[in-house]
Amino acid sequence: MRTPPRLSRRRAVGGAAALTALVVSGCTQDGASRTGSGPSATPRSETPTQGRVPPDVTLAAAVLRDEQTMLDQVAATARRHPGLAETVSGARSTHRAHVRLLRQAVPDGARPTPPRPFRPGQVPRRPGPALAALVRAETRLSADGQRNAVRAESGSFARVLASMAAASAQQAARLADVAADRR
Amino acid sequence: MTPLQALQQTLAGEHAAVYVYGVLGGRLSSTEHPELMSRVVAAYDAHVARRDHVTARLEAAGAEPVAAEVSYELPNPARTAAQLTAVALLTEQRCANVYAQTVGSTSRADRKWAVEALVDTAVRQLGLGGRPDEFPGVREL
Repeated sequence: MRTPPRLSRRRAVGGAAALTALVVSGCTQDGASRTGSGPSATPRSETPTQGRVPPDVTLAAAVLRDEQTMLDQVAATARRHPGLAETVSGARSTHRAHVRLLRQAVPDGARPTPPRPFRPGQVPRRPGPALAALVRAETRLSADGQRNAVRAESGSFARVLASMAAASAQQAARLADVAADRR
Repeated sequence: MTPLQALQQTLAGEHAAVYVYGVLGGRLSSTEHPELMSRVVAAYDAHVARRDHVTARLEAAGAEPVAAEVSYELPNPARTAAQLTAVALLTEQRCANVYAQTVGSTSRADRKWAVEALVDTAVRQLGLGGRPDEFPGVREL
């Protein structure tokens, strides 16, 4: 088995910049396009979209709103149930990273109205149901993310969306395990 | 990378994963480590199914599916339960990288398949001692 190359800071920064450029310009990369017909599909040419908001920018703005909502719910859960703060810290850092990346990718003018922040009062009173609500929200976010990855025009953007969906699935599984152990 | 190249790379990864899990299953004792054994068997079945799926997709597209290597080098001696678990985790992490690349290089049904494989392998990593990742399968982020 080959050893994967080490990640450098330069590559990490370059990856975010590449995503930003792709989403903002609405270009397709890597020979993939949503309109392809299968494994033998011809790569679509990289033509910047002019005069309209590229579909991937609209999609990124919607995903940004959903990730921010998830982050707000995690934070509100930790505030209402300080005993869960450690449990949900991984979900918090994950969605914070997703929001940070998407903010770089979505131009200010294309950003949706921010979601109303989750308040502690919206979180279930008992920790168990609060945890279960987070599992449901992560599961829903992962399912939406998987659909969005298939819809994305840009292959590079689809790759990131699929990764985010996988991250939410991991958080849902981990939080479900914690919830099961508490019973 | 073209869609066909991505599928060929995915198939190469599945060949390696099937081989590795076959070795792990042969070295594990189901009485001493029943839970790990059940995870290894489940992973083996999943990768065999994916190998067969990608092979069929390539054949349907008129391509010659890449063949498996005779053997694959394991990253550690793979003798103790900890070593076997580490090999399984590394296998899933490498598969995640391949699936993510396939997501970015394909469209429609092939992309949907790769997305689902990425999600599955990311969750599977947790049962093998892996920790949740902010961007599973995307090393540069």
